[in-house]
Amino acid sequence: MNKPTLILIAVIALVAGVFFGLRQNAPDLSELTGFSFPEPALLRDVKLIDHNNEPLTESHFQDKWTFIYVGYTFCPDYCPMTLTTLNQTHALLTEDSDTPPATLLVSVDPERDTPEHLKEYVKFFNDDFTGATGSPDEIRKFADQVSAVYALPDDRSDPNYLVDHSSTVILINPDAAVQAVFTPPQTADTLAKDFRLLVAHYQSR
Amino acid sequence: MKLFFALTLLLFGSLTSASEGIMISEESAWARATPPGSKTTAIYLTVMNHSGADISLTAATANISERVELHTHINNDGMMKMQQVVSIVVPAGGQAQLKPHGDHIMVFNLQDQLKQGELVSVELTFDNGQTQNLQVPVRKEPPSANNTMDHDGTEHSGMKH
Repeated sequence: MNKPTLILIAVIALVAGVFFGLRQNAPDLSELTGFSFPEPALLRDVKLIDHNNEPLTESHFQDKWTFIYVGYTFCPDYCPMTLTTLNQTHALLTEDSDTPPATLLVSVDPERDTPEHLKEYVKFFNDDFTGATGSPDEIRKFADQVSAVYALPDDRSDPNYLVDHSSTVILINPDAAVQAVFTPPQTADTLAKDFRLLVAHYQSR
Repeated sequence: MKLFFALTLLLFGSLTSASEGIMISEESAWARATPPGSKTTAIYLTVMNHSGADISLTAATANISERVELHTHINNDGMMKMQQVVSIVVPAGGQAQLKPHGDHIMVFNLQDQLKQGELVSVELTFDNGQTQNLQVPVRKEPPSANNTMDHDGTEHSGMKH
């Protein structure tokens, strides 16, 4: 073998070694409890209203990680339970970093959940949490993008109506793309563990 | 003699209901604290049945609202649906856990915010004729796992007979 061939082989071996070495450092996503999208889809045309009555668009999600919960404040069990879990997750992840992921509650029940009421509600769980809602059409468009399903009753004349919903937690990555979905029952430990894996995986790309 | 017989029956009867009937694990009982303005909450607890026959929880009342119902969750194609139920069965020699995401006592029309540390008076009615009254603490988070009873009920501290 001549010298250039040997150098070429050495270079290929080095590149392959570095490549596979990096691959081994990428975390194993098979340990995830939630479902991670191999190709996260960017959020588009988000037109929600936040709890301060300000527009909330896809730019809200840029350059940070965000946990989203899609629910409603009249909900007696799943929603407060999941927001409690997200508050515990927030505490666990604050131990890792000064910038833990943001948390957003999107209400699918704008008739009862005014921005003012949403603000009171989310602050009860954590001062850093944000609430948002919007028009029924815009909420539906947003929920579709994050794989959340819900069904308001057609007859809402009884003020105590309940809403069926998927009760999923969604993780948005710093590109404002849908990174992962966690179906109930979620726990703070598994959400925090999955979050760390997904961040490490994102950074190893 | 008649009186003695009646007293014996009464004593025997009450002992039987205590040892073979329903017991509530007090450590497991909690009512969810509510954010300001919220009109709903849920009450959770574990009911144990020390008798040889199934007993059903058929009604619950609480001093915080006139509308209290027994509810369960069903998973309907990935959507969580809450539904009122007529009763919750506590199997013979077993227990029924009313807990988040499962069976629970649903409270509507809350007048006041429920705050951590407050107590709610709850009365439970069973189809064997038993009623149980208990004071349920208001909590923001569930009692920690090592405080809840999910074994056979051999530990009797804090149990309501």
